[in-house]
Amino acid sequence: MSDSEEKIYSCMCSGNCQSRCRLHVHVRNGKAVKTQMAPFPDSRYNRVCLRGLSHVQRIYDPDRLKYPMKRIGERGEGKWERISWDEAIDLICTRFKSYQQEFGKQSIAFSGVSGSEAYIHGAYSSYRLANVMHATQTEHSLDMSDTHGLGRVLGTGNTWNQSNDRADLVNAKTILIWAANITDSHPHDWRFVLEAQQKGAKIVVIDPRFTACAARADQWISLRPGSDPALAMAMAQVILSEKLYDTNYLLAHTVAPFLVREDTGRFLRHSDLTGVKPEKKSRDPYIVWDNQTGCGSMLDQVENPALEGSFNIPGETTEFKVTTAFSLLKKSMSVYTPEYAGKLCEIEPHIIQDLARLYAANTPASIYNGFIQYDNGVQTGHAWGILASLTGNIGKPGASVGHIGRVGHDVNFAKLFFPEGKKSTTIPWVYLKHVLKTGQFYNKAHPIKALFIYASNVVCNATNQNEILNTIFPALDFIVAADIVPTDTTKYADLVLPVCHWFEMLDIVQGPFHPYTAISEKALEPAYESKSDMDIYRMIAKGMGLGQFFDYTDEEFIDMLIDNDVARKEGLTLDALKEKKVVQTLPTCWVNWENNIFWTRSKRLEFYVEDPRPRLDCGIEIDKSREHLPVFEPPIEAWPDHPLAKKYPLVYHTVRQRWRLHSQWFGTPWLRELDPEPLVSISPKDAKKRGIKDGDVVEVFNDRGHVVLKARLSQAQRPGMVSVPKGWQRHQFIAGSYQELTTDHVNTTSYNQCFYDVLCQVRKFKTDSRDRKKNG
Amino acid sequence: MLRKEWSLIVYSLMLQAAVGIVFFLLVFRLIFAGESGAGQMTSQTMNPLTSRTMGLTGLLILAGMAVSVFHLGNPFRAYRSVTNLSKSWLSREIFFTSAFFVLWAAGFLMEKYGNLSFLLIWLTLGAGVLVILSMARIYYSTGKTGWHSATTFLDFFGTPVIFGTLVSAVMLYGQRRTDGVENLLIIFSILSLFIVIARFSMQLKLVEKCLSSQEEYSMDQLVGASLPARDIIPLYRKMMIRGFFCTFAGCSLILLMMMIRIFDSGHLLIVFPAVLVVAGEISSRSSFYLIGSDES
Amino acid sequence: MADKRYGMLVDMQRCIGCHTCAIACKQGNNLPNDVWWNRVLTFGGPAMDTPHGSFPNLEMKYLTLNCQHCEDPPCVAACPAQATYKREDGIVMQDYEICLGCRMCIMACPYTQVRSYNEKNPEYYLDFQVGDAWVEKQQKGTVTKCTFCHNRLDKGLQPNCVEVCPVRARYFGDLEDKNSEVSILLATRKYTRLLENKGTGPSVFYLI
Repeated sequence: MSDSEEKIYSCMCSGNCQSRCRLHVHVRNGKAVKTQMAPFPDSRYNRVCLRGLSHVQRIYDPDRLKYPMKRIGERGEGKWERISWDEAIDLICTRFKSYQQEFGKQSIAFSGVSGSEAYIHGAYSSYRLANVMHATQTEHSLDMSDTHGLGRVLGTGNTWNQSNDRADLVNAKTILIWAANITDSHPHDWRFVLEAQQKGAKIVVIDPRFTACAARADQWISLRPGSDPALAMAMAQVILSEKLYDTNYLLAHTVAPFLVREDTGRFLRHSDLTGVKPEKKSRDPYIVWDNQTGCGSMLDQVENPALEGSFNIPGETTEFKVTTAFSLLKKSMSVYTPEYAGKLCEIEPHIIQDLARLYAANTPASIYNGFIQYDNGVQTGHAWGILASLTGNIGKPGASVGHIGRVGHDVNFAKLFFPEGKKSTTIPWVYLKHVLKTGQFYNKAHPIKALFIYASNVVCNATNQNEILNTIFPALDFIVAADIVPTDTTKYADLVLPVCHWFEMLDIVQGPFHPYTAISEKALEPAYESKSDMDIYRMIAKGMGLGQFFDYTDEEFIDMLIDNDVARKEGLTLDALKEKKVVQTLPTCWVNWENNIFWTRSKRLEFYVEDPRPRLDCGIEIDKSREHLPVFEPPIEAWPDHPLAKKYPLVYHTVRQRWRLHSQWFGTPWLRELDPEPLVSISPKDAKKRGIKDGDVVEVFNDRGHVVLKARLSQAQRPGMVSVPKGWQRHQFIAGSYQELTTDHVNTTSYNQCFYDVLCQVRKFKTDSRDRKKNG
Repeated sequence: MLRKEWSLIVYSLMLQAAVGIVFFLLVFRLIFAGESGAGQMTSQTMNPLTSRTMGLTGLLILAGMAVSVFHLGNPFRAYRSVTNLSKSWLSREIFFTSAFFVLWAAGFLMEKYGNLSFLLIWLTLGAGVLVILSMARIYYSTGKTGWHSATTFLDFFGTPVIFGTLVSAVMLYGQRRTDGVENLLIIFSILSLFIVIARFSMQLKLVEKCLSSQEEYSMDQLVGASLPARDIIPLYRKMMIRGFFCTFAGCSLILLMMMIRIFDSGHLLIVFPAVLVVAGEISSRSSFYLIGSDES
Repeated sequence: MADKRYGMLVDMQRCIGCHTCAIACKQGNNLPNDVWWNRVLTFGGPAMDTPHGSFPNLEMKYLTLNCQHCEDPPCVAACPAQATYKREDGIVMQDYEICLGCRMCIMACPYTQVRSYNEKNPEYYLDFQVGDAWVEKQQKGTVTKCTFCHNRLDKGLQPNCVEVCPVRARYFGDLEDKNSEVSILLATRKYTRLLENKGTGPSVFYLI
């Protein structure tokens, strides 16, 4: 065959690893035959991974959903009837209309997570319909605890816009890789870390488990699972007690000199003193203590504000007892001595001291953190914010903290999502169970009858699988699941809709792990009867009498997003995308917060949170007094003091491996040849105690559920914990599922699923003869 | 594990047996034949003996060659296998096997239609020795721990002696007593026993070598194909011990039968050493192929 | 001296065992089920990602293993049919049209499992050819192995595994050209070759 018969399309791998690799999809005879790494304008960002190179097997997966199917047996029984798209849409619209009439518009819920992060057809595809239907949307409740904690300090809220560009890591002298297994989950960032290391940077990996990334680091610190906030706060304590902090930075760019009122816990403002309410809240100056005059004055009028101290400041009507935020921080951190934290973390105190000194002195320093999967993640994120505030390791080349998510500044999401304004109600996924149980949300009746699941395999990926299957799903009259292949979730739906693979539809994709915006071309015709997400919503909208909002082509929707001045200035137009495929929309090696203006109310780093709020407002109050500054809270379950720890002494991690992305690629044959079955990783020490040998079939269990799989004895595993790989479907285990054990505990501050905050026990599984046969 | 190797086991044993038989034929003709030998065997005895051994030899060579083809993924391309004589020991082995066969065929015809010349037997034996030599070199030169040792040569040259002894014993079984022949076979039985013992002790050392070097942790260990997979060692040990005992028992029985001169009695008795030696050699040769394999 | 000698460099300081190279090879060369020309090994044990040592004193290193394209290849000497041969540019090739399937090359190769034998008709998950259009069709009863993606080289492309490496741990080029990236790296970095004591002179170099 000659090469000329091969057509190459520019597509984007838009999964939620967030690397957003550009791929060339080679098409011969109408079939995708190869996906290949495609270049970005700056070759440093060229990237692809083993999953991106396996798309051909996903596109032509023999198991692909081929046509709409209606359940005819019991839920989960696996009996289906093939129906036409017309019948499917008719069924959906009839049900939706009747629920909305009887129970209110909110009774339809749309639930998507991150099946694709492209803007038109992926995770956000239902937003437009949900809003014009005034429906309910579930919020994913994922990766948001430390995000919220650090986000409070930065003022970035629910976004992940925290760190610098990952390519900027090369400028760091110290990199703390904290709770992240970069070499598996973000391999493309590893070369930036390596480059820094080659230039002399110190790389420290903080992870209970030994990983490839820990193996390459200059130092690996294995801490007790879930003790991260104690370590971060102890570092802050060392920096404070040894005066390693950057006073100038603290005074200029943080709330350190702000005066906190003893009575309210809020910053003292000019209006407090005058008793006159300001015209605008933002025009109410903060008061600081002027060392020269010995009295409180407005921030911009004080040259030399006090960093430390408690003061009495007279107002018009009353005297205010105030203390600087810095003094409060110092006091609250003083508990967390390296000795005390060392016991919590099971780390030698001198290691904590050295780590703090390294981070404070060997600058610029960056914290490359993963997502904290324990209930106490907010504290960890908050403490990271404190570390950056104290040392000024932020806003400079090589100095950065937190997640990466600087996207969308040039995209007009509102126009696409909210054509009539925000009309849908958002409920965090972890809170959905309570809404279904009580029929109430925000103290108002909020019945939900139908769930439309898209871009998500929630049964496999959300915590406490048995609760989803036994409480959440039975409370719903009608479940629709749209997906590319059958999953744990489609299995329990009432109606299943076949969706296109990413390369079968046109879309637009942005970083954040590279500074580009790119078009993802439609390289292939949709397989079988599959349809794009947006096409499905177009049909439903028409059936619901809302067709006028969907009278746009995919191209027009893309144009809707980027038809604005910011985008135009960057050269981001539909024509440019069609011609060049890739447009640079951020500088390479960009530095976040370069001007030290943050998104907080004070525009400074608010390491003292004057008004701590829950991440999402569900109408539930929180105890604010414990959240101004972080306090070490042990994990909700995974801690030796927990009453369950006697029965279930092992911490249970569901780890993300290179072989899958969440649950995607679970059935890809090439990857299964290398990684054929799930294995629970257990330390030889723990295994020996339980009489478990390598390859034995074991049961990992707790009160919530169990999973049966083979054991893999590994020295990489920290004793006292086990790891089960994430993303395998129920049928791929000998019995149960890894997600049966995880907890759906609701933290009313973070509303985040805490996947690792779990205890379990492991025992040898007595296989019946059928299992023995299966296992050879 | 040996699923793919059975044809090589059979082929190597058959060819080595054939060479052993030719060797013994030569020895017998040299020592005992009427004209040039000590004259203990008349041509009446010698001719049918020669004819039978030549027939058996040919059968073994032909069957061996036929079986060896099963080892190939593409048997129809077998003709290409002699195109690398300058480098490949396998090419040479196949070439010498063919030469061995051609010389045997010439000898067979000569024996049938005239008189088998000593020179031809010498030449045939020479080709046979070269077959065994190249066969041993094939394995020796892979550098695999289990093969790259003198054991391979002892094994490949020992088996012809063992099989030769056995076949001679079988052929002469039931013949009229000739002390010289029996004494010769006694000597060869003892030689066979020595070979079996020597081979066994060398195999034991090989196991040790394979096991001891596996404790280390190095790049060579990880990527090298020279060591057998650790989990096949117990199986290897089992096979080689079984091989040792069977062949040893078989050769001892031959020795015993020669010593107590029971040639004339107990027609079926010879089946015991025959079965033992054949089983023992198959087991031992299987272990040889096993230890060279790095598949687990 | 030959005009050209292709060589591959693998930086063991950089390799994270991600298997992207292995999959790129699998896809690009349309390898049959269960055939891998390029594998990722871990020091410490036969299982993947096995560290060496005991907790917490551990180390973990990866090594990718493909045909080493030796200067003095034992496989070429062993092949009775000259199906295995060395090209002028140093690439050791396997001619599927000539190969007898005697597996002598597999036995002679000092490196473990860099070759695969198609005992049966090659099987694939998909019923059409994937990967590069020019890849030779594999046959029953023949031995296959890494070709340094020789057809890609002819088109001025890099081998599949080199092109995709997420951590840029793989390099490919002409060892005879003193100005090539590979020559410069070899001149400046410490390296090792696998089983030097066998005297095969591999063209794959491991930077350490």
